Amino acid sequence: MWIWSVAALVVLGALTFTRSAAGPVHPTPQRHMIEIRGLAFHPDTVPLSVGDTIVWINHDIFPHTATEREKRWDTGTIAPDSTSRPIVLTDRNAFSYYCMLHPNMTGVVLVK
Amino acid sequence: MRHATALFFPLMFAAATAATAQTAPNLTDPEVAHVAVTANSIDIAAGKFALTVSTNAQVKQFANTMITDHSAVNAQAGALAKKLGVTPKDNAVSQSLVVGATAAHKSMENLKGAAFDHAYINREVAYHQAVLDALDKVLVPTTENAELKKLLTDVRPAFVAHLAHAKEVQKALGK
Repeated sequence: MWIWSVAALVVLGALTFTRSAAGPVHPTPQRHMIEIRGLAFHPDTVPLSVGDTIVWINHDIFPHTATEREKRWDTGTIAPDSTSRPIVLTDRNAFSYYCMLHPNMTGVVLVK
Repeated sequence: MRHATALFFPLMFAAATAATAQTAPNLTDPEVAHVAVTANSIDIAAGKFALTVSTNAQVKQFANTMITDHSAVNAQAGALAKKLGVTPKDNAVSQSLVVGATAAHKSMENLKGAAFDHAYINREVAYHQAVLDALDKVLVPTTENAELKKLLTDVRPAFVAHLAHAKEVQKALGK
């Protein structure tokens, strides 16, 4: 019986090691939606994980952009009543972004 | 339709128009609609003029935004007027806006380079502040039709954004 116990421990240890060697396990990437309404981003701050995707939905009658301050990512122009191209966040950081057409429109994406 | 005793109109539009509106007009909804469309059209024209003169990237981007946004508001206003069967009616306030815009254009038409950029942006700051004041104190309170009132209220954040944008460009240009 003891030999089976030892074998089980060895297998469990191997699995644990394998899991650690592969790095942290991320949850399934999520898709987040930020609404643009009344010349504001809703919500204006979004926490998310590495690998997640964001899209912006423009409900205004004006075109907008979601542009990272250092231009590390940019949706390009989001026409009225349309959805932006998806942006995939691959780096941990607190990204400040704004609308290039209406610079007082600002938001933050917190990638953890 | 209820009429407004718009005692504050000359003050509210003074910065934008430089006009000589001496008396406070009474405004009906069709007249409010005309004022709104006129105010947008004036800023579209100013933006188009700026694009022909300025070479400053920030000024040109601002001008493009003014053209796009105010055109969008006028399209909404036009669609609403059609839906409601309302014909915007010319009035003294609209006329004073046009007089002011004509004077502003004349004062800028011979300017070039930084002098033009300053003049255009300074006027845009004053114009948007004046229009915001007019929206808050006269146009929205005066308007009876709920849909027209909602349109005026809905576009307010755009004018706030334009004012902030204009001030940002003004700061970048240096006073």
